[in-house]
Amino acid sequence: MTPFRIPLILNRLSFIACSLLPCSSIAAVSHDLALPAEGTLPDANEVARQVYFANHFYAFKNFSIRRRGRTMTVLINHSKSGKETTTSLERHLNNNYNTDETSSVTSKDLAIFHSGKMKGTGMLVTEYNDDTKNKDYMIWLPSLRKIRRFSEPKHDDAWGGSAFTFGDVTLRKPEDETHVIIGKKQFRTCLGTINSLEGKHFRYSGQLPERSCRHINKEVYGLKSTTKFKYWWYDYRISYVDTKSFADYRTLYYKNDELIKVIDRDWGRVNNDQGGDPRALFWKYWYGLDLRTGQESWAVIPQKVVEYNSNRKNSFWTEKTLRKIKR
Amino acid sequence: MGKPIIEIAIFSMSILLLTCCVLIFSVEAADNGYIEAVKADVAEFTTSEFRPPTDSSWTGTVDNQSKTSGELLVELEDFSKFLQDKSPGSYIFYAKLPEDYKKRLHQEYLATGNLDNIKNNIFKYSRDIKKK
Repeated sequence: MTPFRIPLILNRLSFIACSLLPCSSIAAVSHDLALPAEGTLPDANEVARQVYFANHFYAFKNFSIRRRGRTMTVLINHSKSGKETTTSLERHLNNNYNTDETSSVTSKDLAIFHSGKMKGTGMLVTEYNDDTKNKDYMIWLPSLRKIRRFSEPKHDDAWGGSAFTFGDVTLRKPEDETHVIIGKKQFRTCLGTINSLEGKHFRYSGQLPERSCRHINKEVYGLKSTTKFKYWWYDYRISYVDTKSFADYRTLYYKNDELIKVIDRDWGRVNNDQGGDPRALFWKYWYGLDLRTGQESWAVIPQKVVEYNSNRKNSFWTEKTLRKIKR
Repeated sequence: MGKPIIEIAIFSMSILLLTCCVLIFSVEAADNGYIEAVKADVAEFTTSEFRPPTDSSWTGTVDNQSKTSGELLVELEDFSKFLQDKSPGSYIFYAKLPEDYKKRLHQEYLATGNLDNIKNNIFKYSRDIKKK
């Protein structure tokens, strides 16, 4: 690997990892954010904060999409020309730092890649309580057998030919946009998939899911979020947010009032041992379609690789684990 | 000498043409029906009326929903029937389980919607009970 390629690969790695579990971002939303009081209608800002809470798995002490035998999480990128790339990986997110007030760390996030050019590579992202402090991105590069650090990526970076951006999956915070609720209605359609792969057997994930229609008729808020960034790639986006669980099933991105991108997320519920918190959810798949380029991305997380509130010690989320990764 | 060369050239061209055709026809764009359905759905926020595109496979039905997710199988009895229908072999073991195990499996299914896991757990619980 040449030194010139390292920054590119780091960014690419970081993107792919973050598209499948959130790299924790500067936490404007606390881990103990309460649900809106029953019977009250939350305002738009509150809905945005609840969505952030669900998407960052704050309801869990730790959350993993691990490897089970040959089964793993897979990210499939499908270009308009039909070219397909695949990456498989495991991720482990640890939110179990808040209890210790002396700790400066908010969360840690570990990703290990198991296929393609990035096979054997690992990434550890550390988020700190201090909002002014940048996150640590540490990458284990197996070909160099060394750990390298790099800076936080930009919100609109989209690496790996994927339809998702860093902002979409992790970096965008509620305060980056102004929010308005445009209505409340039933969700009407199935979630998207890559048509040609639907229900087919696939490496790493086993059988790929069929389009998810199980959220049809669920009651959702329409949340319109207008970006505060100037000259941004979208003007506003509309999210369909479940009125009970705050799962955002779909987000539509608009530029000059034209629909330019769709992201769908299929959410599953965990058992009731989270104190009945309806936000204790996990992703089953993400689907993204960029209408400007025709590119599709599909991140599929097989049910059996999902693990939460495990007994892993905090020492698992250290450089030591990165160094142990086998190629 | 010249004739075989021409034949080889024609053969190569045919292969090339065939490859091009395969590539062209293998290019698949995203389903237009999906985008139409998405646009019809979001329009409801402004019109307060949902007008689904005709013959769309993206505006699924609640029936399809129950088949894949178990979201509607809120009663244990419905879940048991569903399991008997979907996996008669596992159901034989399931039927022999105590009621609290059945309830646990039902709750797991409601939580995850993953029938494979449920089947594994049926055998696991059966083994556990035998050991006891």
